[in-house]
Amino acid sequence: MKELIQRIAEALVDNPEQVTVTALKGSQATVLELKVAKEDLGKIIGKQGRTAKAIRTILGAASAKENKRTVLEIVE
Amino acid sequence: MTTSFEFEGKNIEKALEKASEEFNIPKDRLRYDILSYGSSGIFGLAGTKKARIRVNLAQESTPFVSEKGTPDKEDLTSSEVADESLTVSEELSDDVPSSDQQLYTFPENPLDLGRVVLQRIVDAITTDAKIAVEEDSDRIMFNVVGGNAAILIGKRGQTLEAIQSRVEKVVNKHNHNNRIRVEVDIQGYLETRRVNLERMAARLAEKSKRIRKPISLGQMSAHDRRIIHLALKDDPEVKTKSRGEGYLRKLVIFPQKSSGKRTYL
Repeated sequence: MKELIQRIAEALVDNPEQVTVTALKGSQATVLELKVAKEDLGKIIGKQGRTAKAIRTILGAASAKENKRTVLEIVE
Repeated sequence: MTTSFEFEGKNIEKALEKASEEFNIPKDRLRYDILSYGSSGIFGLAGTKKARIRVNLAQESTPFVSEKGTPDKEDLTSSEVADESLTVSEELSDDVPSSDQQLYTFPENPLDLGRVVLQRIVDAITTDAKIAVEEDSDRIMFNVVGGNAAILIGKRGQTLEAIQSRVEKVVNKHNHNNRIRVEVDIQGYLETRRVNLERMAARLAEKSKRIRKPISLGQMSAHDRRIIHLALKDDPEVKTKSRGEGYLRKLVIFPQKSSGKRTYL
């Protein structure tokens, strides 16, 4: 899951080496924290949050496979 | 160092099957160029042309192939991927573009890039899904077959839409002027939905004519709205318009004044 977000993010941004994803495992949900370079923040979030929304949707589908919930947080 | 073979078939898919049997390589791992799309002519009678592909054998071991089956493998760090790609590209240095040797390796060609990205997303969601690629002059169509289609499509196609937009973004990251349209279909879902939408459009247009009142259709994606606009474009008795902004944009079907005297709505 973490790998997936890392890969998607790297493919989207201009500075792929600054992409980091940290996973915080909770009892019910896993929180993935995505950190990117400041100038790439807009690319990850997208117009009206469109890109972020799409990534969350994909994440939701991917975690449904394992009967888990995963929340994506984009951190500045 | 590439050895290439040409295959013929009724369509690209058939040619691919032949090739994959011949070399015993799964279809989605074959590297191929499409020489001709072939055409079934008119009703399959006149002007049939076979589809031809050229399969490049040496190229089938790209850095990503090794990952495809196991997308969640955490220990596969990017540097390992890069190392692997380095050795691979040394072996076939005459074929692989030099940019593949950078730390973060993505294929140059938009088609391959799209396929790699799509495969990775799809693998994370479900298993055993295969991707068939078709290329037009200005767009690429990916068709995902197998795996758990229901999860891949999502509620009202929202996962499918998300996947498609993601792949499109990645493919068009560096060309802002000349965007390539990317379509992702999952086991013919797009076609089914188009038929359903057209049927609904026709039904609602009838209703609107009958009750002589505009009918609005709730929130729809741009793609869905387009289908309805196109479906009702040739009906002189109704007019379609989109109203509102952003996600809340609605489509409204207006009955047109017919030749009778009742011109008010």
